[in-house]
Amino acid sequence: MAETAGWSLRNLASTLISPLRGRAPGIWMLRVGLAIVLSVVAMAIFAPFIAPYSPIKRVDKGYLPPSREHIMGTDNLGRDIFSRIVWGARIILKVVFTASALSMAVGIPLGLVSGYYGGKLDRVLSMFMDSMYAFPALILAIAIAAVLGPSPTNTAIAIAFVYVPTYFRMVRGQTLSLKSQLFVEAARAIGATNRSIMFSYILPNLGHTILVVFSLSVADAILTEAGLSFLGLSVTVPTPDWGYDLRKGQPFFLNGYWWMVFFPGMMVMLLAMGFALIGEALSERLSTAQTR
Amino acid sequence: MRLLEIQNLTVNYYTLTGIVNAVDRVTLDVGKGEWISVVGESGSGKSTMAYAVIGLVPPPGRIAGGKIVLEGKELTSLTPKEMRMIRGRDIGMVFQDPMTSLDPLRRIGHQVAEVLVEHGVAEWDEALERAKEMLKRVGIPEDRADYYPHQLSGGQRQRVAIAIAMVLRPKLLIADEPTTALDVIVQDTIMDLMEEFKREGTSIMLITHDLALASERSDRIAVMYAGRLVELGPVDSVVESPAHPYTQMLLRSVPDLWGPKDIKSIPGFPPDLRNPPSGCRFHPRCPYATSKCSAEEPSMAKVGPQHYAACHYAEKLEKQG
Repeated sequence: MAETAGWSLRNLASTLISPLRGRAPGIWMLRVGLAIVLSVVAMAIFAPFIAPYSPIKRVDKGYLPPSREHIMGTDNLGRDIFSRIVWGARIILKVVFTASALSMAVGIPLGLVSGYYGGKLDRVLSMFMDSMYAFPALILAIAIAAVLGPSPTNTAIAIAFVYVPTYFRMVRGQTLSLKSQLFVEAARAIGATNRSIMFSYILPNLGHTILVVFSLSVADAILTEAGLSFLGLSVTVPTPDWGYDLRKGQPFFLNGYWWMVFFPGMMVMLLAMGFALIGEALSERLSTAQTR
Repeated sequence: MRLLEIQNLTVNYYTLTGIVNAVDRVTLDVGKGEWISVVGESGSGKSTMAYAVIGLVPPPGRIAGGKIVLEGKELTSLTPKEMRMIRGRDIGMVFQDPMTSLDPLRRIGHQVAEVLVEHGVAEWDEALERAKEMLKRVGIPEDRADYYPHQLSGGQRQRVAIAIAMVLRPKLLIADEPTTALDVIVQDTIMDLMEEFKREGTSIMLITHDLALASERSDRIAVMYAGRLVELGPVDSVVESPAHPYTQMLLRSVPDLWGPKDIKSIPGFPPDLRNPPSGCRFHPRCPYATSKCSAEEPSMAKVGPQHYAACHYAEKLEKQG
């Protein structure tokens, strides 16, 4: 079995890299998106080595414009904005990935069961999910975050709620079409259990769909997270956080201190765009674009 | 005792526009090591009957009556779990399209091994070994066990499908148009493979619309029309002296290289099974139909040794040829 595993690992690596080569239309989206996302991830992982100053301490005079010492300037309290951006990447990625993992853990199995068994259960679940889906994402997240109270974990839970219906609907829809495929029928004919049909026949065939939904909903979740922390519903001071910093810089913007708003805002936009580009490129390649 | 006895099997599809009577009171049996071919055109109920035997009539279809007895066990009264254990172990099934009947994401060796694991016969390591043996047995080299379905040709995929169906050596193999998607040469090798299993004692129920294919290797032929079994008998007897007008016309509509050049099609269309014709279901298309045919339903009557036909005038017609 060891050989098989090695072979498949090599296979997986080449599957992941091969789309980067070649000249397929839309390939630039995947490259740019991956470049953005990977650099932000690297920034988050190596934050202590990248950030030149402490993100939560006064390191210089306040209101300093971008310069050699402070490439993104300092804020009103004299903290280095670049260092805050670098450390802030940790928070936003942690929140967004935790949220996505939670939504997947709930949305995917429910979607599978609902689509596979159908009937009353499916109707009730779909109705419930659709009514959740009908809420504007941010409003729903605000409501949940407000109830749970401000903390990164609670923000993640609030965001997770918002994206459960997205995974549910996508997985349910695909399951409906996959369960009538001949290979699923053939699995029944060898006496496979419903559970193994759902989890070892249908679920693996949903892989690419889930990947697309994941990148697109992460892009969306980044904006939601930034929105929540902009409204003060995510982190507590003095934790560095892009959305919160954006909010803090806002009163000074009109006085000409543009860097306090520009850099955090830019980072939120860039990261969201990075995931969106990956999602778009994948969905174009896999032609399963049916997400919001 | 016969291996499989189907008694008065009725299967309906409960659709929004009405009840479709796809299989109507069919009685049929399959002996041990016997090859029986069920022929009929699309919509004759032959596939539905096969799916009923393996307990997989797709919704909104349901077995509405009759019995299916496999080695003395009544299958229609089994719980879903008991029926699941019958599938794959006692009855194997091969589907029409080998392009879509295999899971595209899993190696063929795993797909064969899965049967053994699902039935608790072996753990993965041993199951994979046995899968390799089975693949070799159906003519797929061992080193291809790691291949994915897309790396194989249509004929090879159908061999894999047969390996999956036969790995637990079921007593009955149901093949639903297994060669329709394949070219004639490959078709023949697949049939050879099935015949090998038959010689080892497996009974085979071949569902096909290809009379030539059916007459080549079967022991008996069952002809279905509009959900009814209309003729049943040994191949030679059915092909040489068909007793039911439908069978006769079916045989005449098959082109024969050495036979007469004129091919006669059967006029008309199969009936709407939501509202089947009264009496004999074939009477609207039958050239010999009389008033008796539309009023009275013919039952299966003996027309020769082991040869039965459901026609009021079967004996007369058989003599005419």
